[in-house]
Amino acid sequence: MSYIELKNISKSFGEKEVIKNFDLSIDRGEFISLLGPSGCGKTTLLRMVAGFIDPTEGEIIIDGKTVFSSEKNIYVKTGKRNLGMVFQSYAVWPHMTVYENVAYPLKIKKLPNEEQRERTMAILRQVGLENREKDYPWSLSGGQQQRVALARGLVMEPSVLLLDEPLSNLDVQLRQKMKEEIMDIQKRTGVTVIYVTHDQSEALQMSDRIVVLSNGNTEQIGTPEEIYHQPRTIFTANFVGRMNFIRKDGRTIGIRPEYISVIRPGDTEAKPGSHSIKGNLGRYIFEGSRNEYFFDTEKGEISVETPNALPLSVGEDALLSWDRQVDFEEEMHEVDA
Amino acid sequence: MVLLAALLLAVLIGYPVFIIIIRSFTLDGALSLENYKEAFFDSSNYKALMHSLIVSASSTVLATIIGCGAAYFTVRTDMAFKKLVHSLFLFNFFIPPFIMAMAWRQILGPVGTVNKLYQALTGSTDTIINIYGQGGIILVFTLSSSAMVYMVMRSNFEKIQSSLEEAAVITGASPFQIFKDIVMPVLKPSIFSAMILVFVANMSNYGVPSVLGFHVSYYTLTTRIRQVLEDFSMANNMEVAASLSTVLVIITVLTLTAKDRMLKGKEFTLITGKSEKAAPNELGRWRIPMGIVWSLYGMAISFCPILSILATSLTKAYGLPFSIENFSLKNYATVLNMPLFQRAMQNSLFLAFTAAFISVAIGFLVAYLCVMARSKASGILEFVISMPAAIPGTVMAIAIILAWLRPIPVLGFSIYNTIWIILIAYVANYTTQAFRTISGSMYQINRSLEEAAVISGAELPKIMTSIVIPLIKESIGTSWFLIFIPCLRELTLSIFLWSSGNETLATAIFTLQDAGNYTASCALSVLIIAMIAAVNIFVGKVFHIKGTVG
Repeated sequence: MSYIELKNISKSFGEKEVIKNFDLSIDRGEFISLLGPSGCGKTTLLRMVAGFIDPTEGEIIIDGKTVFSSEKNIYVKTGKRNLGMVFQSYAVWPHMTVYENVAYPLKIKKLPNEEQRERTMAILRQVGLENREKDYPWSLSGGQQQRVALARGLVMEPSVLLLDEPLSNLDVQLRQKMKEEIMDIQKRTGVTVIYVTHDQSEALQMSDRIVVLSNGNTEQIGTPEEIYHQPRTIFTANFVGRMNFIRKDGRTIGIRPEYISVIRPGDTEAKPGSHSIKGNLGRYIFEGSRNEYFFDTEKGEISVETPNALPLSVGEDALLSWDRQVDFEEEMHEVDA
Repeated sequence: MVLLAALLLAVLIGYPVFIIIIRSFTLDGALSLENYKEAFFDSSNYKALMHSLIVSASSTVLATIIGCGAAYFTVRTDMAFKKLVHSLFLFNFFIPPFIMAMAWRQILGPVGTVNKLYQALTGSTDTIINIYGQGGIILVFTLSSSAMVYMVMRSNFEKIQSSLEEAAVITGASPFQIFKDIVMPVLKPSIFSAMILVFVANMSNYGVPSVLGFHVSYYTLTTRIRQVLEDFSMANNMEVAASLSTVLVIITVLTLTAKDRMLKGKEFTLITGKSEKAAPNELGRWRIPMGIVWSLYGMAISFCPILSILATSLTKAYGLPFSIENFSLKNYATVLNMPLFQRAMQNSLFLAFTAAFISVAIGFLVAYLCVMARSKASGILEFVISMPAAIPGTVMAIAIILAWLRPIPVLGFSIYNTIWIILIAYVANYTTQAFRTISGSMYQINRSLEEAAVISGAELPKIMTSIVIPLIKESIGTSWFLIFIPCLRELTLSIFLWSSGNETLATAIFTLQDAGNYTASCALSVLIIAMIAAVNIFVGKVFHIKGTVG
């Protein structure tokens, strides 16, 4: 049996159903991301695992223990689920020092003082804050405050660490650094993580598996590679990375911009791939590490991404060719394009 | 403009404060500490100081506990009757503390409802409770102030981020542990500043100790100052009153400074992320009992006093039980036909209207100079206009008397004993409030809005009329009402400055009480409360602001 199981979870707020028959199994030590736009239900799911919200229906099992079941009428209180949680707003207690913040969960569990000290200092070393133990949160930067929150979430060695958009209050550079730190800490502690985010790059970089959600429905569950290269729905393909869509016989074909190679007329060395289309270069964007070209074709505009600049000027014709593509069952809607 | 502002503030605030300090150090035209010696070593004065400290401190502690409790239960739990409790606490704001004191005197006084009931039940002629003196003053202060604490703390309980509590829920902490370890400590700075607010307000209050203290010769600093001022057997009564006033000011200033010192850097800025409203704590079987307890308390601070004075105002004669045979509306007819009432009504309306206009004008001018024009004199202007915030009404009244008693130079007449001295006192006392409201909203105007106007070539006067005033016109309106309403029922300044023909509504109530006409004074109190409530509701509707209340 899996370490954590969410079985047939539904949740309605009044008339509005925000989660519909959601199922998920998580293995011990896995890093799972719940990814989706705001209002997709990802935070609601996380808060149901935490016990802040009760599902209308379904069952939640953590480490072999049923913590919620609508059928068997089981409800285990939040504090008894052995969880750690990190909030978007850090929620570091402003009146306590770094040490007091991190030691608080141990104090509540009435661990001997010596053990409290040992474990708190050990986790503070893990997050690199061992020298700031006596400081108050207001003297810390946002990143350091989030590390305090992380340490506080981990100090009890929880069954699951719940992270609710923990990086969205940080600036871009710090975010990258914190991503790596969170992954590093997760590897070292082996803690199981459920990570809520609307940022696809966070989900792709950090997760073992990603759950893509929209409007309370599961769009797809899979490894980052699967989600990126084999998206099952247009929604997923659009939400994670960029994709060109071509209509064909009531179906839709998706091609990632980097799948396409460009063959200039008279370029005899290049062999066309299994699919190709003629295009005329409309515009070009330089983005440093990559170059983006937009070709006008009979199927609409198609973007191509290459690491190196092409010897091609705006207005010139070229043949776009690719081997890899994704077939979708659905018809593409105008809004998706 | 700077000159005009400086002159106005100097005459209105600077000079009276200067003169009261000078007078407190003067005896027979020479510098002396004699007045202070008397202020401290005369046992009556010393006792009054102690009384002030005792009643203010103990009512502050009690009101804080009760107010915080009420705020916690109505905001953070699933207690029953929350809305009712909230309305009852809000309603208390329409009842000025001195009317509250009068109402409770009717309930708990020697011939009050409770004693009468006891006597009727037991046939005894003893009284079981007596509101006069220390206990009664503490009671009424606590009842009034708890509503103030409630209002302040309510918004703080609402602002506290739910994730701070959830982070503790995750650890398995019990609701009590969360309250003790997280909620209370996080709110400590705001509780502390609410306490200071209440303490200073009660130290400065004149109405309550005068209603409940005079009869039993229990004096606090404010009422003692009045007594000294009117004690013409003392050669230096003015000077001693001045030094007692200075002592009172020193206490309030020290308290306010201590607050600023202690809170420096402690006001936690809580970063706001998306925070869902935390689920209210479940009280289980205590849900309804708690609701009943707080509803009863809410009644005690609003309905009981109102019903008590309403009943008296509708009874033929004071002391008769309230019943169908004794029901009468004649007190209202009497009051409405009284020349005293008509004068007081006219005076209070005139004073409140005019004082609010002048205060807002001065407040606006100084705010403009300090915030928009960034005048070099802004430091000193702001200091002077902020002084009244730390000066109790009693002291302001004495200062105004000392400053304006003598004929005005050049013009050759004195405004003492005219309505104008009351107007000047109102403006001196309230203009600081207008300044605070208006400068606050001027600070909020985004610099770039102003700069955009500058870029497009607008000069300062144009920027004022086309950008600034339209943006802050609501706050100008609000500050007008925030002065108009308290002036309408103003007691402390008026009681020192009124003269025959120049009564105000609040002094009229006192006059009627002193004349033993309790039924009429109650009818007048009911009219005042109704008027305040009506204006508040009107303002709330027009400006969409809550808790205007004076």
